[in-house]
Amino acid sequence: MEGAVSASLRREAEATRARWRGTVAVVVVGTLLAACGTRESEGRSPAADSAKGDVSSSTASSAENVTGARAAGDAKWGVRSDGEWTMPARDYANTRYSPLDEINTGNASRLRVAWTFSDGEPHGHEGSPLVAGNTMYVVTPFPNTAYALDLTKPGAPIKWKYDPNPSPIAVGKACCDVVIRGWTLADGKLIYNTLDDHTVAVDTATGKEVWRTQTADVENGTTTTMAPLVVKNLVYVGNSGGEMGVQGQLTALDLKTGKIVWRAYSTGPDSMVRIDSNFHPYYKWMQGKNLGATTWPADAWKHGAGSVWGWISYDPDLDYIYYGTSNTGPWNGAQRPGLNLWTSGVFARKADDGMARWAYVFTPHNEWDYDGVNENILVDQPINGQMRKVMVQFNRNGFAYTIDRQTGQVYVAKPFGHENWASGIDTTTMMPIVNDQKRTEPPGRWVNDICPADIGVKDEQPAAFSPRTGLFYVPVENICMNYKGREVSYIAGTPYWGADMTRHAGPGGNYGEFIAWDAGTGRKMWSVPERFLVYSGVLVTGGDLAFYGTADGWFRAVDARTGKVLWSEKLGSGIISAPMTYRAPDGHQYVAVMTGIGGGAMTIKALPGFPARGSTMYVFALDGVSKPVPETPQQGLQSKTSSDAGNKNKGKH
Amino acid sequence: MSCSRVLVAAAFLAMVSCKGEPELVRGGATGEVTLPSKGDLSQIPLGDFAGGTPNLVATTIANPYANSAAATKEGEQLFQQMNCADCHGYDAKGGMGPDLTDAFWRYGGSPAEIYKSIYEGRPKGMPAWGASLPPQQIWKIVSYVQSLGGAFPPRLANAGRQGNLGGLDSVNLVSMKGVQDEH
Amino acid sequence: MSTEVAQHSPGIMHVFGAPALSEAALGWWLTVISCAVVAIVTIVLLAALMRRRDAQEGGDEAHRRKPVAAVSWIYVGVSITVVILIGSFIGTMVTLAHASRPSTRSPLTLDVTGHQWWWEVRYSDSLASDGFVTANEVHIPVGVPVRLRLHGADVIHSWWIPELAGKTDVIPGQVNEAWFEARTPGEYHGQCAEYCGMEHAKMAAIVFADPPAKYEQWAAQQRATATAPADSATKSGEFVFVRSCGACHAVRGSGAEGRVGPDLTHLASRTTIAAGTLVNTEGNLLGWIGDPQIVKPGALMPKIALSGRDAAAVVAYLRTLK
Repeated sequence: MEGAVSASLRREAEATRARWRGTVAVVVVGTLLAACGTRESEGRSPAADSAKGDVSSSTASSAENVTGARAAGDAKWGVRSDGEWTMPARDYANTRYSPLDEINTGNASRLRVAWTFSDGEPHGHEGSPLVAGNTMYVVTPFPNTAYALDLTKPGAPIKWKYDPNPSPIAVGKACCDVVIRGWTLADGKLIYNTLDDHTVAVDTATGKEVWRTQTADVENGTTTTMAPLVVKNLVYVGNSGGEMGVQGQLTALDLKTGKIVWRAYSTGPDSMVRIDSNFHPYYKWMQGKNLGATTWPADAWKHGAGSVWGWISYDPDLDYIYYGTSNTGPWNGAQRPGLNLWTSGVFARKADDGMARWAYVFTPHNEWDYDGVNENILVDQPINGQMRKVMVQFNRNGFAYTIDRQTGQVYVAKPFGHENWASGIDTTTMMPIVNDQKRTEPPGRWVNDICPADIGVKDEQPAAFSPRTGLFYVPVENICMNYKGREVSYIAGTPYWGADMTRHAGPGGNYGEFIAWDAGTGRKMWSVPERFLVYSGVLVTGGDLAFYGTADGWFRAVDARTGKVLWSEKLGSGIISAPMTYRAPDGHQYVAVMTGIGGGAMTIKALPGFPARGSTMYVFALDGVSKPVPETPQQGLQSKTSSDAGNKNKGKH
Repeated sequence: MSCSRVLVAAAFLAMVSCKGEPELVRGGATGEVTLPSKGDLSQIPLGDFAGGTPNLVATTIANPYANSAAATKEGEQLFQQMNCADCHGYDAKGGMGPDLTDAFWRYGGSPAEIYKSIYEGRPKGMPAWGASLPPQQIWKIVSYVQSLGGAFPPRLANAGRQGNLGGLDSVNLVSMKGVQDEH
Repeated sequence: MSTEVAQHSPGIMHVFGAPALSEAALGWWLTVISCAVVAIVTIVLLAALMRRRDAQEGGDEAHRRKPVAAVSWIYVGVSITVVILIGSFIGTMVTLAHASRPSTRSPLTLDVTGHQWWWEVRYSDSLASDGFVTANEVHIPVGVPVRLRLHGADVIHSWWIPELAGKTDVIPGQVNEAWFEARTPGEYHGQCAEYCGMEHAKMAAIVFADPPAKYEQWAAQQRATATAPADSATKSGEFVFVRSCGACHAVRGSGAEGRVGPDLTHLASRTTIAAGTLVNTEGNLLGWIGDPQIVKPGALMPKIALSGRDAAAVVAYLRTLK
């Protein structure tokens, strides 16, 4: 009996010890694991942990390993110094990132208006001011007046003004407001395009015209709205007119003289598209001779659009320029059976002679106006554990593409907003798998609730990339359309369009969203919903702030790591331009943004609360005005005279 | 007898084919109509007459198709086929080009002035259709534009120039339906 | 103005292509059977009438005849009728099946769109740039089944080439399919067969069945861009054409790309104009352009009011568009 009792007691004790040992083991292992997990997830938001990504297999966050950074003062990528912004997207990679960090997540709430400038044109403002040295350069929407503002003086007075006198005919040929999307500085010149297809170069010191070149004929419906890019000794200029039956083109002008050096078309036989035996598209359906003509009914490519009205990037190592082509003309696809190359796609071309190296078409036989012109941001990104040189485009069609910028291979193609026109992208051919119910062919009938609407999940408003977080900051549209197409005749100078549409918000009811995106895996990291469209470009800074604006005029600064809105200010009109930042002569950091609703954002103008037009540029700094203005005796005299004049004139009309 | 008849017929044909005479047009589905003459239309200036003479010419010219439902329907079809809808909107409420349903007309809102804007084109990108479309087609398009309610009847053309239709919106002008072609 | 097109009355019983051949055969069979039935019934009826008189004259002998003979005649009659009915039913079903799709895959597909009052015909090819468009006059290779997709642009029309196939309605908003195959070369005239407005009667179509080599030659010619004007006279004609006609008509290569009216790139290769209403001659072209409303009142082509010189130049240009 005793033996049995003691044996059972012994067994009990052993069991208890075993339980304790097990518990301790679990606790120790658990703690170790938790510690590892914490180290791994440092810098990641909670959303990332729960999201599923199925392209990248790396366990660590791919965002952390992205270098993509253009180091401050990296001249190779076109940046002269920390405090300047001398080309539309600040650098050739189109990151729109500035290392300035005086304004940061800790003090963003102190941002106040420092000064403002009205350019007098109540149309859509899509361009960003440039700063070189002590001068800021601003160009207005039509009639495209250029102003140089002296940043050394209080209130940044106008140093000089230049009027190119463009033709008013251009006003009636511009599909989407008389905007100008940007301008650039190079070789002592301010270079930009006028709406009526002239490229002008203005001496930055004197404001006098150095050269002017006409690149197209406004009377047949071509206009020019894009921001030119200068690489070495060439100025690249693309045309607009995707709704006017133009033939898309990119023209290279000589920087010194403005003479046309070469021109590459977006459609037509290989000789026009500048394709030779060095052209190697990655996917089979884009390989072959003269596809820019044979994938169209005879001669239809001459009015097939593919205009080049968006952004251009440049890789100085590969010496390639990258740019996208517009929608296909006309919108009614039934008139143009075939894949309609090379519209709605992206080209990689050799920078000096424009010969194409590869191309990829995002939306072959495009029936929905999903242009391919959005910015291609060049970064180095780990894909499946290997570092790759890629370009990332947030396309109109709702898919965010990560593409090898050397070969054109598509690594990632994931929706970054709401879309229902395609159920996905075929992983072998990288062609979209179109949802037949959302085809707009045949014309003559209403097709309802196509998402996104023609203006896409993102239009031309450019995203930004931060090398500090490895994330992309993207303005997103949540908008759908009801669409009825019709057969349309090409009549030069009139639209070659044929689309009756109404638009409405997508699921959720909010028209806009501002998101952070990981392009390695194709994942949304966080999002800020907005009632109105987020139709502005994005600025991201070394202070870990991302700036964006809404169509109803809210300008916001958001923590780039968490998505928390740290500062907002309501401006005079809607914002459809990209903000920029610079260091002023006083040594402080300023953030500038142009307001003035217009452009494609007018599609929701019926929404209650939609703003009126505007023309003001706002410049912000910490605590507003950075230093007081001493009053000199001379200044005092001047002010007395002007007030006398004011009194005299009272009572007169 | 037959000789004199031939002479009369020849004389008539000669008269009818002279420039400046109102054109007799077989309007097809819309029957025969007499279009305003080129001579009359050329009297309407874009601005006002120097010297202070009131510009009343537009008040005398009516659209022969104004009250024809068939012509208005054809005009609507032409409005789409000639790509007008893609500039001015399928509901004509504007887009690349201005709103045609409101009571604001930069170049005049009477039928004759609208006809001239279409025929001659206008500086900010409105193409000139006079060479591409025969007059009766343009008048049918004017008929469609009038049916949208923003245009002025001819007798109000001068009041429109003077800004004396202030307060009237397109709704009010629509209620003037039936007087669109009255002198 | 010179004479209109010689009246060609295509018959539905004298046919030259599939499926019209099988449909006509069905028609003939039904006619033959109907006639036979009528003949038999009439003969039997007359015989019966005659017999009754004989019987009455014969008296008692008639009453003693067995009634079973009459009954067996009923069996015979019903059997024959049933066999013929079933046979006709099967024949009809087979003919309908044959009419709905060709026995072999069709290598050529035409998209025909019915407009008021003309036919737009689009040829497509595996290479998009090898497709082309023409109007009212269709060429097909002999012995090849041709598939048709029928589209309606405005109202309901009906595509009918009697010597080749039956009618198929053309309905806006849906695509109807039909097919035909010409067995012998020739010119087959057709007509819109559904009232579609004022000029319904002047909406003819002509199908030319060519030997395959000749068809390829024609197709290659149609694919080509319009010949560029060689001399200044033709150049001025092209200029007037593009300016005054280009908003509605297309001539590939000239700058005129309107889609409201028929494509005229190879107008001079057609035998008729205005959808078969007029023979394609210089005089008729001048008359048609001068005032289409006299020829086809209500036609959507307006009177353009060109000067005599301009009209002559345009016609001279159009006649170079082979």
